[in-house]
Amino acid sequence: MFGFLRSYFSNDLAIDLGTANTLIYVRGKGIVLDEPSVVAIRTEGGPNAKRTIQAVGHAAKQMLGKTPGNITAIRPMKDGVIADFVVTEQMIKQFIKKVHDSRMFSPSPRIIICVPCGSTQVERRAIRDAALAAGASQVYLIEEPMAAAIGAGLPVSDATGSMVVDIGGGTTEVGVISLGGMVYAGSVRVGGDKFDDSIVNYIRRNYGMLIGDTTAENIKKEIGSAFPGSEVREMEVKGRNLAEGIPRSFTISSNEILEALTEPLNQIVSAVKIALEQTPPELGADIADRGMVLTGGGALLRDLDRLLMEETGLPVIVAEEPLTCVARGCGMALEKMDKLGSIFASE
Amino acid sequence: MTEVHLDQHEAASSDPAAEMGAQLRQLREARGETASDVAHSLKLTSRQIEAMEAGRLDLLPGAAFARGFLRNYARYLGVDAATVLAAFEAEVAPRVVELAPVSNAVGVMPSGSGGRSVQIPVGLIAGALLLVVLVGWYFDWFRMPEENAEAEEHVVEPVAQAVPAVTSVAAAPQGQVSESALAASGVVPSLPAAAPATPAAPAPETAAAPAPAPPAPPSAALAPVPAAATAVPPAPAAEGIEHIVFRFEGESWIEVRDARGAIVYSGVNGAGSSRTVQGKPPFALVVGNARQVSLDYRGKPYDMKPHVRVSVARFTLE
Repeated sequence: MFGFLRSYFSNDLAIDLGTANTLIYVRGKGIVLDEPSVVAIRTEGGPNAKRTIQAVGHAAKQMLGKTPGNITAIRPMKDGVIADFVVTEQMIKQFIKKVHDSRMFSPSPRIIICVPCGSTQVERRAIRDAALAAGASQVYLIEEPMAAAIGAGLPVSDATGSMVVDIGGGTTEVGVISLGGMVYAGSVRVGGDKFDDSIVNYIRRNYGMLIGDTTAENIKKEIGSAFPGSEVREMEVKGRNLAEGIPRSFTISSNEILEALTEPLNQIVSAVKIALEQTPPELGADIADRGMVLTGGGALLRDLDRLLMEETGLPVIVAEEPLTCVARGCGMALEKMDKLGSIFASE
Repeated sequence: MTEVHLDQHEAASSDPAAEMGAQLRQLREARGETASDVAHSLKLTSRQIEAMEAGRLDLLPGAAFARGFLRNYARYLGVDAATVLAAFEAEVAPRVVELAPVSNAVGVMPSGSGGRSVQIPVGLIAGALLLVVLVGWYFDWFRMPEENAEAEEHVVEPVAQAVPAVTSVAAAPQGQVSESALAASGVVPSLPAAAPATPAAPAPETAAAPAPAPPAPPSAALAPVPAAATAVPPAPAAEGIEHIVFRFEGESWIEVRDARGAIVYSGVNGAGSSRTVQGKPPFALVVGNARQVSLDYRGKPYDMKPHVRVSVARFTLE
């Protein structure tokens, strides 16, 4: 009874706990928080050093790769799942605190969190426990492709096949959805982070220059492309020359980035092809008619839809505001939470 | 054919969607491409391209996909997707997505491997259980005292039987399975008539006490015997009750069971005492220190020496 009252007074949340970004949707308010999943922890001096949280979100992301010895900037999520349980728990706590106004009673909302469909029971348990430890009264899990499809406005409850490809920071999720459930769910641990790594490795190999993850991400956003043929762009990049040990600048073109991204992109293409192979023929016919929908930050990579279009011969559309699709989908599930059962994933 | 049909539709309506569709077609024709060329590039069908150019978005598979197709087409033609979508806004406004599939039936499938399982009337079973509990409680609560009364009756019975025997009243038949202790007390008034000896009076009061009482006046002991002899015959005739008379020269323990196997008498008797036990034959007897005990049965002395083993006799009297 008191639980009911408590959850009545505190706003329920939907969290897209992503590898790169964490988004929080509050019931009735929409997306109220969109911050990088980064935590900066400061270690105070002494043998039994106390560790305090210096910053979370945008502020912490700016510290990535630029921290002195007593501060560590950590990305607690890796490949879509929790890599550092304690830090993740603290991060969720901090974000919830930001969202909720300070009140007399500490908030204990019901929380919907999305999980990669390829995550194991242990990983799901960890995410659930982290949310519970962060103060949630109840935790519901929803699989990312389902949330992405809802957020993209696909007719998930109809008796037609909808295919969604959600390219996140850590994982790429491919789902075929019909009648409010997942007919096929596939997950590969390739995403924005792998793109960045590939760019770093490519530049080190071909230019003998070392660049940081943040620089690689900027290159990807500026001139990254997934399909040849469109205009060639160039960008000036600064890094440390490995041979001389001195920072230098050099120019890199979009064609080179395309080459660098070939390997992770091929993994995504093959994941999509496997999904199409495994889809029942009736739903395959629907998908051939409508095509697949790209969501997630990876969908913003230039011409990724053209790559998939050429590789599969199916229409491919990029969802509007692909970065927030999953959070909006979680939010819609949150608004209708009391009437839904089948949408939520079990452990 | 479709071309002509769509043209007519376009002429008939002047909504922004149809106008924008016409613009898209002009742009395409200016590039010298046919609808099927565009369809090939965008992996759509030429039917879908023509539908977009005619502003007939209802022919496309739904708002979310129509918006995506329009954006792809606009990008292909090199025009701003936002303006194209704005023109089609009325038709492709994102709708509220339904999350649960359609349902027009209510029911639960039977579970388990039983397949066609019978609908279990839960209410009926619960009612039956309640009834059982109530009945159990009723018997437990209300019937207990009666059972106790019966038990008391059983206790009294041997007394009632023993009393007339010991006192050897002519009214022995009264002792035959008297209903209650009241009947036993009913014997008392007849006592003085048969045996004026006063010691007999306390006899009915206790079961154990009467044993030594009769022998106290030895003279009276003789009187009962003939009295018993005269009184006994009518009794067996009526009920099949027989009497056994023990005389103890030494202390002895005896046990007498009647035809039903119920213990008629069991107890220790002192030296020099005698005891009369009545009941329905055959009797099963156990007599301790048997060499010091003699007994009369059916008015005749009975020799129990053949049954004695190590001073204890076990035998049956027919």
